[in-house]
Amino acid sequence: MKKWMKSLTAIMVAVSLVGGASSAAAAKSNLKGNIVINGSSALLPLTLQAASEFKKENPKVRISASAAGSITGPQSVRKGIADIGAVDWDASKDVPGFNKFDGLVANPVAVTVFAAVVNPNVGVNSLTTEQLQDIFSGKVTNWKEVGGSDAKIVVVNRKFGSGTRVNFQQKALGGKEFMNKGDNYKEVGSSGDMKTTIETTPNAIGYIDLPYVTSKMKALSINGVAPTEKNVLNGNYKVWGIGYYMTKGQPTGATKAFIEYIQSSKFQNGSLKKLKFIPLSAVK
Amino acid sequence: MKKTFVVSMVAAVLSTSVVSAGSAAPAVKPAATAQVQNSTFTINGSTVVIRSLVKQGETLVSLRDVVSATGAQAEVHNGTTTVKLNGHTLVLKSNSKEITVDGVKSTLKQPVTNVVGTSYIALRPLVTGLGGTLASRAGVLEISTVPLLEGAENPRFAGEGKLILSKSDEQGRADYLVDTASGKFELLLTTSGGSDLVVSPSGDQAAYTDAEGAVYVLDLKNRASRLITSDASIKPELVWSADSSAIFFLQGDKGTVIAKLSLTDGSITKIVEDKVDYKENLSVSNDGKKFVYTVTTLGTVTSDTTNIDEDNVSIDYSSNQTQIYSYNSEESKPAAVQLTASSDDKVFVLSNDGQKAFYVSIPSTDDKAVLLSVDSSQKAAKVFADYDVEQALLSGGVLYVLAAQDDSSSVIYSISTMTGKQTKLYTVPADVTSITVAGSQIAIVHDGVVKVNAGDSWRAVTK
Repeated sequence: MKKWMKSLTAIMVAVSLVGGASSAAAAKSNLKGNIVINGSSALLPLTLQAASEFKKENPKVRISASAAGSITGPQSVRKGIADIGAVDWDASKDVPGFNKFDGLVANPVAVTVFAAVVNPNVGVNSLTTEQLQDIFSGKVTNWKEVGGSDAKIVVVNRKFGSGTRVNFQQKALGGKEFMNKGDNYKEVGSSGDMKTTIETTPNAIGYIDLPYVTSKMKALSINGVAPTEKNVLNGNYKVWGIGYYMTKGQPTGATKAFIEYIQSSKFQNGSLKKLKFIPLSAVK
Repeated sequence: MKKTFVVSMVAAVLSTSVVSAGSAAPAVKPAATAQVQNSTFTINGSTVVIRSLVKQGETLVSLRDVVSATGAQAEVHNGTTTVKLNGHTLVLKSNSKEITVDGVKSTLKQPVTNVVGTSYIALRPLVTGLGGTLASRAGVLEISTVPLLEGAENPRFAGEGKLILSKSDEQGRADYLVDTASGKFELLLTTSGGSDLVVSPSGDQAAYTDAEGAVYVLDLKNRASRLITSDASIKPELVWSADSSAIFFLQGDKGTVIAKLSLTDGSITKIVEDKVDYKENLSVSNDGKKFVYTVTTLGTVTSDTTNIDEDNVSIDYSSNQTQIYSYNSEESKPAAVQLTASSDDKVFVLSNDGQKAFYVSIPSTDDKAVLLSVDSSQKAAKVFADYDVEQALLSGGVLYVLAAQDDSSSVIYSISTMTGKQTKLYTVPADVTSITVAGSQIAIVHDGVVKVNAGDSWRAVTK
């Protein structure tokens, strides 16, 4: 009995070893490389989360991230100092205010929802498109003119080159121009700066992408519609855009693998949603 | 009741088929001299005695016994036996070497042999033909014909003999509880935008956040989820306290705050609120007072957008580094203590006690990655540097390392965090991509298939 079992075991082991050898012949993915990502601060939380997860599977890929506004993304790629330019619009095409970047490929990564936000002391919960246009152009300067208390409105704008600014101007203000100076006008360089400024400046209004909205600020409804994923998907909330990773030509190597990771179902329907972005597939 | 009836029917059919086949094929000598013996197998997690015999060095098993043990269905028509299980069909004839598996013919070394009214067939073609797998453990053959979960990943042990595995698609993620002995699985949870399930130290609960940030605890015994808090802040990482009474988490889209959630009353206490962004890789000491984590500093961008076509942008990445910090909340004036200052990439950052950290250092050159330890002295010490480290994890105070030995093989080591003693546990194929450990249980991911250690082999629990 024992002998029989031993011989049977030997046969089994021999068979499984053959199987093991054959599968071991397949080349192991041992991705190495250095990926430099610069651009949109709206997309930065997404980039960092994806980088953290990707590196656990590909520890030898180093990912360096920075953010100074969308336009610096494709600029950095064109200049050759970054592999990925994170940008809140398709920079391979002309958009109002910005020419297309020839030779760059737009790889979609996420749907970003943008919200008009105010300091919590502002007693207004919803504004119409016209009221937003009037406030951000400087025509309306006191909250009492739009149903709030008697207090001067502090307009906080993103600097030229911000993708959040491009999207907000196109989709919330119908393309109307921003004011650009005045005692109650501020410009900030990133989503993080916008968050801090709105949280700490009484009577302030600005705009930001949904992941940055905190309990220390209030996201306004626009024309009575709240900035939620549900309202984007049912078509009622229009202030959203697709975020892109711009690459010089088609991505290759570690850059390609990283973009594929961020576009994967696992990431799109996991961490991406957790960070309050919307999966690409949801708006196709 | 129903199962018993089916098995009895199958047994009767097989008995008939043997008699019939024997009389129809007198040219093949019955194996009158073959010695039938009882052999013990593990089939689908249960110990089963199967009649077997050895014919010219090959082991044949009782078809009737295997059919009965696996719950397969068999029928005989004109001397041809058809066995069906889990969508697979195996057709055979008594005294014939020819079998057909899912429509494809193949030849056995030994013909199907009948002895005293029972058909005997080679074990491996029978099991694999029915879609099953075989492995040996401590000299006992383990056979599984349970349909395995396909394409699942991210294995986490959840108590003895159980793994949680996940599958993602465009609808979201589904988490399954898999029995490592039998491969049987059941759906635990489906989520869209929820976090991974994080198993408690005791292995009987798992915590997760939904897409809104609310935290739930799933009881793995009764499958009931309990809402702990509906606090909607983003929680990138959840870490159980050692006594399973609380969950520590990083809070905010930048992981700025370290907070504690009481599972008793759902209250949230902020522990580290130093306005330092991009914390990650949180470890908590057993007493819940000390913490180790990483902080990533971003590159500094200088740009002038006056003329976009000029690309007046530059990036200084000299400060773009990940460093490890510890934080002792029991100190009179607690403050973050920087443990590392080196520019190497740091992955798999781990800590037992919230003070000393272990991490895999990735060099910028082609040198191998090594496992280091570091404390407040900022002096890194080598813990494992024999081979190129691909993964490190900590379980029960013991470090486990997966490292590339050469082009064809990797090794799994355990390393005591107390003494530094290294023990080589296994040599595995080079395309094993990750390991997971809980106590004496270990699983690997090999070619996308999750396998658990079964003594002298690895048994697939997914396909």
